[in-house]
Amino acid sequence: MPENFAKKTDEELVELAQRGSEDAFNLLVVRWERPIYALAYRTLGRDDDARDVCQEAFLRAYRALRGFKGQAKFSSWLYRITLNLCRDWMRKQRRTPVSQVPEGLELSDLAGEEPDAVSVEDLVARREMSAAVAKVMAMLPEEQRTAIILKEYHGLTFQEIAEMLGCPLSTVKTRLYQGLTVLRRNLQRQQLHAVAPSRAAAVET
Amino acid sequence: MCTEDTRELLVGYLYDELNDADRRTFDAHLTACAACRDELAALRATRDDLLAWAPPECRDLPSTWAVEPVPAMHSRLRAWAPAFGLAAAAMLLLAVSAAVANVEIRYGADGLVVRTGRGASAEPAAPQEAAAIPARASYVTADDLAAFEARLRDALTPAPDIRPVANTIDTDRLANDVRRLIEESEERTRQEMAARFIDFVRDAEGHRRADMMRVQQALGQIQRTSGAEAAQTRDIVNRLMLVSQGQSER
Repeated sequence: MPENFAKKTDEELVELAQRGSEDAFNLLVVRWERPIYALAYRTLGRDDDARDVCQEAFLRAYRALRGFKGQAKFSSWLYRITLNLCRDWMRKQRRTPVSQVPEGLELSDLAGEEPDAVSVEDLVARREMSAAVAKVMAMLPEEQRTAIILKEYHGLTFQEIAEMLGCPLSTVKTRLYQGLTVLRRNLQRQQLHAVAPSRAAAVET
Repeated sequence: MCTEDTRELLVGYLYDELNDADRRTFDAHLTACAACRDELAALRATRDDLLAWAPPECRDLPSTWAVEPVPAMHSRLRAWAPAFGLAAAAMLLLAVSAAVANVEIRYGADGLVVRTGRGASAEPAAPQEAAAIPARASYVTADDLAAFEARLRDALTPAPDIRPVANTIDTDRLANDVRRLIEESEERTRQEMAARFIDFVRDAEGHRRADMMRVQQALGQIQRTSGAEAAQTRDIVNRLMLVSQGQSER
């Protein structure tokens, strides 16, 4: 792969790929496969489904590349393809996302993300929190979940989310606010469960 | 919580997407409104909690599809993109090879099949051809492909409009010479396409075999014994390959 490719922007690489450079497209894949996989994983909640959607998204992007005229950022375009695939996927499977406690998520992986050594208690707590978040996210309505994922894990602006989802700016803010509020309540409930099941049961009734 | 407008401001403030004027407005509001202060703190804590959710490490992302050290996606992309060109190359190769050695090569859903002998029948080949190419329809090995490639090159080299090449130079150089001359005439163009087809077939076959090996390894842990079972396993693997090829062409 030509070395100067690494410095090129996504849009420059798209142009090269449109003129037939497979290397350019490969680099786009390398740049974006993890975010796209993460987006699909958090939307669908299953890693095998997410992997399939991720592959399919890049296949579609490759085939549709000539039609991409730079009207949006390449990443936004790719996100939209992925979200459409996720929606089709959920419709086809007729099921809502599952909350899968990621089995591949080992304590050592989490430790690797920390700059300093962290106590085992912290790691366990963090793993539990990860599972709890997965669970409460799966309970959100789809449009709130999508808005939260795009904002919290992909750092899109309100404007970008509004364009991607085709809804007004104020709707994006409302979805984020309502989603966060529900998440907050459900997370508190989860933590009560973990600490004192009997008390949590009393709270729920 | 106050009004709808305040809520929008709060969300903007939470995600740091307010302009200066709005931020000052909301700052002022916060000093006066304990409810908004509490809510802001709670939502910030929730956002922190969300950070704990990491997707599992995925080992099978698109860039890892290539089994060999081929650049990511390269082989896969080539597999769908030039279907038309591939078909043309295959036709040419068939024409060339039929003229040269009466060899039939077919790469389909059931893998790579090489047959020898006149006509398209699956009858065992004539004895003189059996030496270089497996006589009956079978999956070829890399050695067979190499042998076939060498044979094809040998057969085409003495063509009248190609510069004679000494037999002593190694095959790489021969291949390079051939490729250079190819651009000059239609005959040579055909030859290069045949060579490229062989490369492609070898590449595809490599992928197929690697995939098959992986599946077989998995299956092998469950059952590795009698010939009957092995045959069954092979059958299953072939079906899996059919399905996976069908999917990659979608």
